Amino acid sequence: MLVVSCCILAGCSGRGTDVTVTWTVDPPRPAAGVEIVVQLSVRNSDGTPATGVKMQCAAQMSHPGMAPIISPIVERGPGIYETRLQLSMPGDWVLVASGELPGGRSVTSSFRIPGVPPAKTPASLP
Amino acid sequence: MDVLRLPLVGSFLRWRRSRTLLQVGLLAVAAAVVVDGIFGPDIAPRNLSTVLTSIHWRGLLVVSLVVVGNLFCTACPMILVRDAGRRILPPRFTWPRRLRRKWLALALLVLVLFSYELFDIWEAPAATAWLVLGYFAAALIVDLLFKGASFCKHVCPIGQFNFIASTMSPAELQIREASTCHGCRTFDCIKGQRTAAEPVRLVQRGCELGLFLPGKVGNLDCTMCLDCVHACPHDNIALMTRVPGLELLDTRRRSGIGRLADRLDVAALAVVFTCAALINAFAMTAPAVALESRLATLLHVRSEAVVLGLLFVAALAAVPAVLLVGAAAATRAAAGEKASPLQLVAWRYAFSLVPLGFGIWLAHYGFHLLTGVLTVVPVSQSAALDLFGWAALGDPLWRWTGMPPGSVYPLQIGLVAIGACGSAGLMWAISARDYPDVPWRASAPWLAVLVMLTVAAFWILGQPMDMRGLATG
Repeated sequence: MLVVSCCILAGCSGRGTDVTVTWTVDPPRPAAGVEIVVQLSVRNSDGTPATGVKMQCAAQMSHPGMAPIISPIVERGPGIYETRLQLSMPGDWVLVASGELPGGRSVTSSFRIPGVPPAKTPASLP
Repeated sequence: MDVLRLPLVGSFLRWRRSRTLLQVGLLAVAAAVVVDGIFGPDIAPRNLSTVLTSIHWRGLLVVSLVVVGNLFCTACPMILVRDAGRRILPPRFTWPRRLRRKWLALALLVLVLFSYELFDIWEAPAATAWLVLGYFAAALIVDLLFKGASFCKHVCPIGQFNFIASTMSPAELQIREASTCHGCRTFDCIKGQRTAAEPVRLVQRGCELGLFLPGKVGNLDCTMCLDCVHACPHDNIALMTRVPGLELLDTRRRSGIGRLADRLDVAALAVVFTCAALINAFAMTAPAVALESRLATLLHVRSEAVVLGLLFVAALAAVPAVLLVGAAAATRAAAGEKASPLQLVAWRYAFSLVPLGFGIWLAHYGFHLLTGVLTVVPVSQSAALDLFGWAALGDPLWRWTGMPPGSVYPLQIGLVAIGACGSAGLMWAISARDYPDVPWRASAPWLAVLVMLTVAAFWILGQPMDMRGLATG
């Protein structure tokens, strides 16, 4: 069961779409090198779940020029989409989900994860 | 070798419109930076504003300096805008004598570097765009008020960086034959060219930075605008290849500058240039984040400005002062010259740090260029998609970046090592010139400083990156 402690309504946008995307990241303060589960709730403007959206997630460091981590987003349930990835280094990251709604309209949404710490080794855990 | 005599390249540079063409190209790039920065996505790795400035402009700037010379001043689009503005409003004033040293420009350079870190401009497309617009506005205002290239010579922070870095460039504008200049009575290279038919009208301006070519030594204050080349009626100006860095040993009086030995401001610029290379690279690493957090806790402050300010004061003033004064004292003692003021000794050797500083800048900006050079492709594709509503340049290839970071690391170490060797060579040459009886003993303290700074650079380059917006937040 996902621990929801960080949800941000990242209004959707950019290319004339009417869906709303809500992001959830578990763990909420991920460290570098640790797998995170990213869940997106995609809803139409009338509040109904948006199904059949084809998206991929690109995790990029906030500094330009770094290689992105790209992972497919799969639909887990009506309007619920999920992907898993590992952030490769500490720092500020931004996750960008982009793809297409049924009917061909494009969708893009982003979510920032600031201050990702380095991975803790077992010896350094309290 | 005279680059102006080479086929193609030489012909292009001698063409009077070559600079304009380069400036138009960069103006178009600047326009793309501003438009995408203000209207595009607020995600730095996906915006032309931050990608083109942080990756391509910075990287190509240092690469062009080491391959040719001050090409980015040659192609500066702000001068194009300023020239257009001067057709409407010619400048009336002369730059104040009291502001003709580099102190103002040096302060602005430090301010730009500090602001870059404090406001995380590298991750702020809109802020980058407004900074570019502000820079254009500043250049226009200064040069609409003051004659000559006042902004370039006395204000532009990027220009000062380029001037000091261009002392390491492999080419320099200089006269071909001194005898030709001795016979010249019109001095077009600095006064500009006029025709006999219209003696009042300037058909080609001369050097706006006050560099009289027969007295010009080195690349300091030269924007490679090539106005002197186009103005000289005797075709007596060449872009000659040379040994990079040697001009820092030249004690002759330089036209438009004076003697380096009399220019504490230029010596300070050389020191800041080198130490800023270290702090700029350090600020991107995990130890920097940890240090900022620890300082914030120790000082009970939450303001990043205070912590960052302390780091900058330490890196650009306190530590260099201790190192340079210490080394100067040791050199003076070794040479038995107790009467020489310490600051004069430090001042002479300060210029020898430039090759190391340039090596570090090249290693840092070169890293970002090599690892991210291809990112301009997907970002341009994405910008086209936003602009036209369809994939006019194809679907964005987000996986396109550049070389793997690990494969660039040996190159970075090599560049710093080459820079360190250059600095060591200059230190030895200064010692041999000024302390011919004890060159090794005079060099030793400076070589020790060089080793410390080089080891610091190697250590920084080996640290894991950790780019954060707010370390104290």
